[in-house]
Amino acid sequence: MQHPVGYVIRNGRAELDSFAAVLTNSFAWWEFLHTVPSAYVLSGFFVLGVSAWHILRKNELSFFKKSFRVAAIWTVIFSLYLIVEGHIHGAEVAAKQPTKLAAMESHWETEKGAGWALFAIPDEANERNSVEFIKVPKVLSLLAFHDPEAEVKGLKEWPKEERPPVALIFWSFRIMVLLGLLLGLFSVLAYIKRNNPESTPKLLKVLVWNIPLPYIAAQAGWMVAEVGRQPWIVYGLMKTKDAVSPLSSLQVGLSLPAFIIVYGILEVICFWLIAYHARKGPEPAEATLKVETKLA
Amino acid sequence: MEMNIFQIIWFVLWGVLWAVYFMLDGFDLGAGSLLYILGKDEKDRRAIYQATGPFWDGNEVWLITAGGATFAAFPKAYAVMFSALYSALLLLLFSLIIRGVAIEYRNKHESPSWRSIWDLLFFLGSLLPALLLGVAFANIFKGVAIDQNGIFQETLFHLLNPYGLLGGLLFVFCFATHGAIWVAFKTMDPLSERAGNLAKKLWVVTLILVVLFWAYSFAATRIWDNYLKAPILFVFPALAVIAYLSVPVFLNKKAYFKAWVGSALTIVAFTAWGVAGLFPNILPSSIDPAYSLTIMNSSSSELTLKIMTAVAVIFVPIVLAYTIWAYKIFSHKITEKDIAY
Repeated sequence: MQHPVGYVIRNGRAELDSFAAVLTNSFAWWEFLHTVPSAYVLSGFFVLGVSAWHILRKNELSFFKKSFRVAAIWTVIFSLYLIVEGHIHGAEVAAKQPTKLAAMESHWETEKGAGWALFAIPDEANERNSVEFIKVPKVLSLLAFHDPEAEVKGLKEWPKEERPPVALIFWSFRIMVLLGLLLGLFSVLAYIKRNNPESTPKLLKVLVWNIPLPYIAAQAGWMVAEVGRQPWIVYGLMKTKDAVSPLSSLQVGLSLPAFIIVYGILEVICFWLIAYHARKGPEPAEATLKVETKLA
Repeated sequence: MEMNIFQIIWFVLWGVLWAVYFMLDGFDLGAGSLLYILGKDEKDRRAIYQATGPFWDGNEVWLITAGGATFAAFPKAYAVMFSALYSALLLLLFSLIIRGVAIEYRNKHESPSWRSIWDLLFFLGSLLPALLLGVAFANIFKGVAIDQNGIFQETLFHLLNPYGLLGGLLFVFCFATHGAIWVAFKTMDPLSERAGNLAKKLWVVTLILVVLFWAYSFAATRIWDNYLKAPILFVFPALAVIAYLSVPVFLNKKAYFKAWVGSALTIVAFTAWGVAGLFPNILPSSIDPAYSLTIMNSSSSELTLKIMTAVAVIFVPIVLAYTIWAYKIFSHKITEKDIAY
C-alpha cells in the first residue's frame, strides 16, 4: 500500500502480476527492517527501566544486574542500528514517496541543493514556514539523496488535495528522530555501565522515566508512515476517500467510540497490571518451578 | 463466467477452514459458556480455564485463517460480507478480544472481585461468539439483502430474523455440548462426571435444534437444492447423523475422548452440509439470485489462487503437525496442581 509493485490493472482492479516483485519490494523490506527492530529497542528499554527501578531499591540485585546487562547489550545493538537504518529508510522514502518526504521536512519549494532547517514551524495556509532558523545549506539534498546538489521536490509541486497534512507529519517526524537519537545515547550509556549499573543512580533514574519514550517514538513513526501517505490509501493508485465501505455513518459513529473505549479501558488495566508485576519482581524459585513442570 | 479448478479448490479449502475452526474453537467457546453451570467453585472454574487455556488461541487462529482465506481467495465476497455483517462482526470481534484478555488476566491478581469480573467477561465472551457465528452463518445460508452493486440494504436487526436466531441457538447448544464433553474428558471427577451428565442433556436439545434447523432450511432457503440435484451430497448430513448418534453411546461408557471425536466429526460434517449447499455461492443475495457472490464472480486472479495453493500445500501440513503436537503435550487430565489460569 505504501509502494505497490508486481500488479497490472485488469478487469477494473489491480491483479497480481509478479509474486517475486511483491516479495522483493524494497520499500516493504526497509519498513520491515525498521518496525521490527524498533520493537526490540522498546522491549530493551522496558527491561532496562524495570531493572533500573529494582537496582535503585536494591531488590534482588544479582537478578536485576543480570537482566540489566543482557538488556543493555541488546538495546545498544538495535538502537544504533535503527539510527543507520532509519537514515537509509528516509532516503528510500525520498525516492519512492516524494510528497511524504516534503511533508516530513516541511519543504515547500522545489530546489537543487536544498537546505535543512534545524528548527521550523510549518504554516500550511500560506504554504511556507512561518519560522525557520539555523538553515544549513545543501543538507536536505545530502540527507535525502546522498548528493549535496540533488533536486528535492517541494510541496508546491503537487496540488493541495494531493498533499498530506504537513504539520502533523513534520512534528511526528521530528519527535521520532529526536527520540531515536536520545535513545541511542541512553543505550550507549547503559552499555558502558552494563557491569556496574548501581554506580550511576542518575542514569538508573533516567532509564526508569525513559520507559514511555520508545512507545512515543514508535507511535510518532507510525504517524509519519501512515498519515504521510495520505491522501492515498494505495500510494499513487487509490485515494482513501475512494476506498470507503458502504456503511452508514451511524455504524461507524458507534464502532469508532466503541474501539476507543474498549482499548482505552484495556490499556489502563494493562498498564496497571504491568506496573504491579514489574514492582513485584521475579516470582520465588518454587513458583517458577511449578509453572515449568506444568509446561513440561 | 467460467469456473476454474482453483476456484473450486479454494471454495473447498474455505469450507474446511470454517469446519476446523468450529470443531476446535467450538469446544473452548462451549466450555466458557458453561463456566457458571459447571464451575460451582473456584477449583472447578480454574479447571475449566485450565482445560481450554493452552488451546483457545491456537483454535482462534483458524478463524483468522478462514477470514484471511476469504479475503485472499474471494476478495469481493469478503468486502461485501464484512460490510453487510459489519455490526455483527464487530460484536464478535469485541467479544473475542475481551474473552482472550479475560483468560490471560484472571490469574494475574489475587483479589476475588478481580476474578469474578473476568469470569463474567469470559462467560459473555464465550456465549456471544457462538450466538453471533450462528446468526451470521444462518443468514449466509439464507442469503442477505445485497443489491447488484454488492451493497447491503438492511440492518443488524434484519439479521436477527427467526431463521438467523435459530441458527444462533443451534450454535450455542452445539458448542456447549462439545465443550461439556471436552471438560468431561480433561478433568477429574466429580467435575468430569457432572460435565458428562450435562453433555447428555445438551445433546438432546441440540438434536431438536438440528432437526428444526434442517426443516426450516428446507422451507426458507435454497440450501437443499444442490442435494436434490446431486444426491451423492447426502453423504455429509448422513455422516453428521451417524457421528452424532455415536456421541451418547460413548458418553454412557464414559469414553469421553471418543465422544468428543464423535461430536467433532458431527460439527465438521454439519459445516460440510452447509457449505456444499451454498456452492457455487459464497454469499447468496436474498433480493435476486443474479446478485449473489459466487466463486466465479468474486475470486482473485488465477495466478493469485495458484500461488495460494502452493503456499497452502507447503504450510498446512506443518500447521497440522504442530497443532497435533501441542494437543498431545497438553493431553493430560487437569489436576489441582495446574495453576496457570
